[in-house]
Amino acid sequence: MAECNEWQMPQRTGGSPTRTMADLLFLPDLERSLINWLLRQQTATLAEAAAYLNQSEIEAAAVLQDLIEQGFVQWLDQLDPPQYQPKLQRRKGRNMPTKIWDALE
Amino acid sequence: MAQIISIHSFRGGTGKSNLTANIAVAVASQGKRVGIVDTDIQSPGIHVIFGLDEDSFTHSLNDYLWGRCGIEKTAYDVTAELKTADGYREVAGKVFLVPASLKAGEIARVLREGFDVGLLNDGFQELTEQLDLDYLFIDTHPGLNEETLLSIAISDAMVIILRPDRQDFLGTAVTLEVAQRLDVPEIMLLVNKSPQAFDREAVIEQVQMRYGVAVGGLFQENDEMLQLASSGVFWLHYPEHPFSQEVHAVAQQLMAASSH
Repeated sequence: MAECNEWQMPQRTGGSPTRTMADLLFLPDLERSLINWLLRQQTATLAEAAAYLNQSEIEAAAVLQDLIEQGFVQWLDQLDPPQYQPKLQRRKGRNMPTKIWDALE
Repeated sequence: MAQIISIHSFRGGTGKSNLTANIAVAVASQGKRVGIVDTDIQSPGIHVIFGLDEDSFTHSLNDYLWGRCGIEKTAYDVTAELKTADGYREVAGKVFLVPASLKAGEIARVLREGFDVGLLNDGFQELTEQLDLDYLFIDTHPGLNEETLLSIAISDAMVIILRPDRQDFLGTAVTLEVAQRLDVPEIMLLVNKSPQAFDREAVIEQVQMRYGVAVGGLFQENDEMLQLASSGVFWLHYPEHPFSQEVHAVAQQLMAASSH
């Protein structure tokens, strides 16, 4: 029987990824640590991220690109120098019958 | 650079907001500029301890999150409102409070529409810069949700409050595991509402053994706290009370940790 890891990222099906703070908890150590650090920095250049990871810029860029594709990070290339930034999703509203919401407002 | 300290408890009713207010004002009394943000949007209330009611503030954190105003508009300087038992007390530093709305419709709107969690992170940073804060205390919602996870993730230190209660013990383990996954540099446990009959040192030892994390303070239940009923900052009303001495000891530890 396969070992059950409660922190294994749940499989998603279809559509573009939308990530929340909760999804961050399921990332592997390296990626999670990088985003934790990026959240505190707010933004960082590739050189700063590489220094944090203690990796070459090529290696760091690959990690960041993977995080961009997963929906955790965005690349702000309009800035000079370009920066990486955590991509925090909107906290979703809750689904309840409209009648209840209308009664509260 | 400002230190961000989030105050959290896994369950409600632990006295989180009261301890947040007391510790934050104790830090301010040491000449520090302190901000407090009420991110407990679903069940806010820390502003009551500072004598604010819905009529005394025009903007809240909710307004900022909905793009109605800048974060600085939601911060109220409550330093001059710090009451003692027989008047007002001047503190050496400053205390700014960002309240969350206590209006039912606005709480419902947050639940209904959600908000941009990224704005919260930007707001914390802008607040510390614009108010030139030394410390920013974040009063979080009990349990785990999006804004609480963000608050924990960006904190330099996290204070977890628990009662000597089995449910609190189990929930605190969850919070600790999450805090460790979010790389919080400093974690401190505070035991609150400990019955007078419990042996102080035995409770502290039990908690430290269980979690392997330092207990920064233990606060016993007391009648004076019940009588004050959130109408003020406890240690300003009862400066010689053991609870107040413990508040100052915790404040000193947090300041010492941030100077490392």
